[in-house]
Amino acid sequence: MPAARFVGVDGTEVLLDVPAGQTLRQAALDNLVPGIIGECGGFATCGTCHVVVDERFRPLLPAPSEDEEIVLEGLLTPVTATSRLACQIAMTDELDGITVHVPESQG
Amino acid sequence: MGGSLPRSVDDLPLLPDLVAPQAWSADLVAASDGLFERGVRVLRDGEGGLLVIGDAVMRALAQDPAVGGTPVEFLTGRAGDRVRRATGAAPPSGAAAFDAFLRNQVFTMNAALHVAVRRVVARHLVPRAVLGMAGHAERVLVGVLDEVTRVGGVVDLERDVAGPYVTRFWTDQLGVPAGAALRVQQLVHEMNRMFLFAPTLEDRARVLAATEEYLELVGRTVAMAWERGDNALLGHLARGLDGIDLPGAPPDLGALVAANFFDGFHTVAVAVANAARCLLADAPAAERVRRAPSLVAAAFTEGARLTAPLMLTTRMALGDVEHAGLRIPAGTPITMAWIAANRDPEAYDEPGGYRLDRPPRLGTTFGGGARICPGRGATRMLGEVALRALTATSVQVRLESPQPGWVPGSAIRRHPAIPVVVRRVAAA
Ligand code: HEM
Ligand code: FES
Repeated sequence: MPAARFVGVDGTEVLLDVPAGQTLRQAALDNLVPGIIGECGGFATCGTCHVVVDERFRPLLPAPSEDEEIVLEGLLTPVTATSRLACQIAMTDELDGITVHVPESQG
Repeated sequence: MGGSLPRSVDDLPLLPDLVAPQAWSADLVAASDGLFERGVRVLRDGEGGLLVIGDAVMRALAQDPAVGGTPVEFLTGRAGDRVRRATGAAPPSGAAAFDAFLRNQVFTMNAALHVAVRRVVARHLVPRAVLGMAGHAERVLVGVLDEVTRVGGVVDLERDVAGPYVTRFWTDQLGVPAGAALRVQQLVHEMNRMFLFAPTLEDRARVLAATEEYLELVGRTVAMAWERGDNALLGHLARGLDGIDLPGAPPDLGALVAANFFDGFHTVAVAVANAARCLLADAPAAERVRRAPSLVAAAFTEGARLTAPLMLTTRMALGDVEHAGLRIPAGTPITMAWIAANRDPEAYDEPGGYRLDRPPRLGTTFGGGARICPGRGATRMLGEVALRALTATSVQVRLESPQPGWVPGSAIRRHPAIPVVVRRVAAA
């Protein structure tokens, strides 16, 4: 099963097996990864599942939708070129080993 | 656990069998606390629909795309039925304005139209946009507090403080002239009767008349402000609306704003007043916030959890829905008692307690799923600005007795009055 690594601001790492098709938001919530809230349930409307994806994996992700872009641009927490919403990242075999950084706060 | 659910909705308990209608109507929060004690999380509402009170099941259903917005025809039909049941008479005619008001609300839209219109409203209420409005909110509130402290004496926290504060804030933001703000506040107060469980003919007539005037006033003044071309928010909203080419979209900018910012004028004022009263009624908590203003966010969230003003709304099963084995047929109205789930003992320790140190956990105060309230960030900002100002060392707010109860028989959680005395305190 492909795996994903969540890295907190203090450097703590959580490594999870994520079934293909499951979103990183769901995997994080199921495993109580600190810092992922996911208030809207995965519909790219709340911005509380923001993660910064490791540069190496960016080309493997589909481009963000218009809704995801609107939400990311509206966040108060610093957003980088590799910021994404974890609810919009569905696991694939290609993404095995993906590393995402969880920001200090959400929203 | 809240017990397993039956497979058929017919096997769910029936609300009127467990709670007397008067008890539900008098205080649905107390009634649902009693239902939790009996292990109940979902019921039949006795009007042909479901009533959801449990946290986990509510979140799951709120996030199910098949649990959608409630069509206008259902809402107006039910409103008419309620008048008939309460009065034995036919509801008054002339509801065209009210119908338009509901039709232009994102609440009642579904599918592509919902996504498109919601996006237009929501994209200008994202956290970054809201932060840019905070300075304006602070200035408006200073003006309101200046007025009430100059006059002195007992004032009402909702009508005289929170109401003018949020109404002036939004009327300014939306280009509605200052002179119209008081009238807008009065009209949304009248329209509040639409949330009554058993409206009289007079209530219904007053709602219809106020809605007609509100739509005309807000619609006209917003259109004029947009034509002047100096209001950025209206410019953005108008361009967004222009880009929607779908049947059923709001016909013009005024209609879009009047229908969808109604909660901005009305519900936010109730949210701010309720949360402020919660905090002021707990002297040690108020003192903690006064000493550590960074606690205002927790204070507002906790107050809103306990006193969520929009206690319930009804969604509709757009297709067959299945949750934990329970099959809900398409067309079933599903009433979400958002405030009840905020107190589900399976989700909260000591659910009725006002605690500033609760672990950050999301309530259902603002709904959930793809239809979660797009105004929640603005509401939190307005609430936090208010709590900060009302607990500042330069201000003293004293709650006067008698302590108010809750307005019965309404889907809105509000006090009939919150008498307070507000004083400026000279710096030590
Ligand atoms: C700036 C102020 C506000 C605006 C502009 C606003 C607007 C809206 C809109 C347009 C929706 C429909 C969303 C959709 O169906 O996709 C909505 C949903 C909702 N709002 Fe607000 N609202 C505001 C304040 C509030 C306040 C103060 C509360 C109560 C604390 C509240 C509670 C809710 C709830 C519970 C829902 C979900 C309803 C449902 O799913 O049936 N809103 N809001
Ligand atoms: S869960 Fe709300 S945006 Fe991802």
